[in-house]
Amino acid sequence: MKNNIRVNISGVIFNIDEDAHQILKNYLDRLRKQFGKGESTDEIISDIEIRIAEMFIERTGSQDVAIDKEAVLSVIEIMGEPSEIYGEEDDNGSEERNSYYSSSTTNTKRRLYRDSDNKIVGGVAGGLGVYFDIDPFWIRLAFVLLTVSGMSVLVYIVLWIVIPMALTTAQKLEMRGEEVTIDNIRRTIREEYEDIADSFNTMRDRHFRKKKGELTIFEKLAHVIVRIITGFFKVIGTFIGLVFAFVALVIILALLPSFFGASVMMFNYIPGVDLSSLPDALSIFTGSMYEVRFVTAAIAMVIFVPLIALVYQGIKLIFGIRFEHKIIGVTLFTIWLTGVILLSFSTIKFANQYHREAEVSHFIDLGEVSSDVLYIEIDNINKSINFPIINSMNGKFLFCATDSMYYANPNIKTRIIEADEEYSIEIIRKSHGSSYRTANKNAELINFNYNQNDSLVTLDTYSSFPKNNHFRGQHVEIIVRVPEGKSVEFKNTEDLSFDLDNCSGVNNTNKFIYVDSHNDEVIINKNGESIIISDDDWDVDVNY
Amino acid sequence: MNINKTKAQMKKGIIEMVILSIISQQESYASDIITQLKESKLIVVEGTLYPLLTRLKNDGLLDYRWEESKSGPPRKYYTITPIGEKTLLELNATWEEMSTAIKAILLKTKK
Repeated sequence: MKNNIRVNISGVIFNIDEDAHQILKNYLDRLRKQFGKGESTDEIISDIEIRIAEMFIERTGSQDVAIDKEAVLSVIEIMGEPSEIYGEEDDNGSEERNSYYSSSTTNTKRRLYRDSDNKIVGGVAGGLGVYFDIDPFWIRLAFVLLTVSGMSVLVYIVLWIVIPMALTTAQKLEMRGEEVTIDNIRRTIREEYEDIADSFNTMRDRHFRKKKGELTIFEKLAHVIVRIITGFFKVIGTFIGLVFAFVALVIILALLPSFFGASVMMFNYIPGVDLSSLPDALSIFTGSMYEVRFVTAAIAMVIFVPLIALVYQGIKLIFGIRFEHKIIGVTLFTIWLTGVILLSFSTIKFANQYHREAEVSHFIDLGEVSSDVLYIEIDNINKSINFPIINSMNGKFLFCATDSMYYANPNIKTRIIEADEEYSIEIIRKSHGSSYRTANKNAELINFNYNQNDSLVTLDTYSSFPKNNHFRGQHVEIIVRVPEGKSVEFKNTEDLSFDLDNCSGVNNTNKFIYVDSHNDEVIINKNGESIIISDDDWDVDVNY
Repeated sequence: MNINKTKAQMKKGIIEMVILSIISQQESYASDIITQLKESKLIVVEGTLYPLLTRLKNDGLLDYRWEESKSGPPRKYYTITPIGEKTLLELNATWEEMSTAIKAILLKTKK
C-alpha cells in the first residue's frame, strides 16, 4: 500500500505516489535553482510543468491511475537533469558546462548536501567529507576539537540549517558529482548563499506542509530557534559522549594489567611478592585459585562491560555507524548482569567467612615498676620495612610479605584501676571466621610480641598472621591499665596514627596520660600544655 | 580538447536559429519543436528548449498565445514577431556565408 498525494500540475489533477512526488518536487526545485531567480524562471518552470503534465497524461491515458516513481523518473530523463539543460544565467563563458547537450549523468557537478546515509547529528560532516573528498572522521574530529573554542557548535548549526539533506537518489548522485574545481566551489558557494535566503521557505515546506495558510514570522522564528536549540544539545551531547568514551578507554587500558596479573613496578618493593594485581589482592581473602578467578571474572564483567559499552558508543559516534546492533546491547547487558549476580554470590560467600568473631585474651601483670611512669614504646625496627600496601581499611594498613601478612596500628586503650593495684597490659587478639572455632583458631595464630624491661614496655608495630590463613579481620587490641595517680607515656608513635582510645583530637606525639586525684584525666602533650578531660568523657573502667 | 564541449558549443550557436526557423514556418507549441529538434539531434533532453523559448520571447523575437487542449493543460503556441523574422534572415545569411566558406575550407583540406 502506498500513500497518494493529489497534486495540481498546470491545472490538471494527478494522483501521485508519495515517493514519486518527493522526487518530482525535488527535481523542480533543482531546476529552479539552476535557472536562478527571476520572472523568467517562473515562466520556464511553468512551461516545463505543462510538458510534464502532458507526458503524465500520455502515460496514464484517461484512466485514474496513480503516477509512480518510474513514471516520474522517465519524465525526468526526457526533460533532463538540470546540468544537462542549458541555463539562462551563465552566458559568461568561463562556466561552460561540458554536458550541455549530452545525456551523460555521471558528469553532474557536485553539490553540497548533508549526507543522510552517514550522519551522526545532522549529516553535516558526512556531507562535507563527500564534498571535499575527505574522510568525515577528520571533519568530525575537527568539530569536536574546535568545540573548545566554542565556535564549531555555532558553525555546525548554521551549516545544518543551510545545507539541504540529500534524501533522494538523484540528490545523492548529485552529492557525489564531478571533481571539485575552483569554478564549482565558487558556484556552490553562491548557491549556498541563495540557500540561506531559501532556508526559511524550505523549512516551512518540510515541516508545515500540511498546515493551511501562511506562517507568521513568529512561527518561522520559533521553528528556527527550536532547531538551533535541539542542534546545540545534539552537538553537546555528541561531544560529551566522545569524552566519556575516551575516558572509558583510558580506564580500561589502565585497569587491564591489574586484572591480568601484570606487575606494576611501583608496588614491587619486595622481591618475590607481587600484589599489584587483583587476583593477588583477592588471594589474601581466599586460598582457592578457583575462587580468585571466579571473583576476578565477576569484577571484570561488572566494571568492564559498562566501559566497553561507552567505548562502543564512542566508536559509533566517530565512524558514524547508525545501525543499531541490538544484539550487542543485549549481550553486553547479559554479561554485566551475570557479573553482578556472580559478584553478589561471591560476596555472600565471602561474608560467610566473617560470620563469627572470637578473641583470645592474654593478660600480663607487669608487677612492681620502679617509677610512677610506665613507658610504652612502639618497636620501630620493623617499621622501616617498606611493605607493599595492598589494602587500606580505616586508616590501618594490611601489609603482605612472603609468608605472613601484617596488620598495623593495634588499638590501644587505657583504663584506670585502683591506686593499690599494679600496671598491667592485656593483649586481645581478635579474628572472624565462618564458625566460632575457626575464628578462635585464626585469633590464636595472630603473632604479636611485647617485651618488658622494668617500666619500659616495647610493643610490636604490626601484628602478623600466616599468609595461608587469609585475612579474616585479624587485629589486636591492647588495654593498658594504669593505677590511679600514676601515668603512662607513649613513645615512637609519630609515624603511625595509633588509635589512642578517647584521645582523638590530641596530636599523636609522645603523650603523658596522667590520672589526678579527682579521677579526672589530664593529658599533657610534649609542649607541657595540659588538657583536662572530665570523668564522663572517659571510658573509665574502675573495676579492673 | 574536449570534443563534447566543442560539439555542444557548435549546437548552441545554431539552435536559436533553428527554433526561429521552425516557428516561422508554422505556429508551433513546445512538443512540435522538440520533435523536430530531436530529429536533427540538436537537443537530447527536452528541458533545454524551455529556457531558450523564454529568452527568445523576452527578447521580442517570439510571441505566444494560449490554446485550450481537450486532452490536457493549455498549450502555448509560439509565433514569430517581425523582429524575429528580421533576426532569422540575418542569421540565415550568416549561416549561408559560413557554411559555404567552411565547406570550401573543408574540401581543400580533404584533398
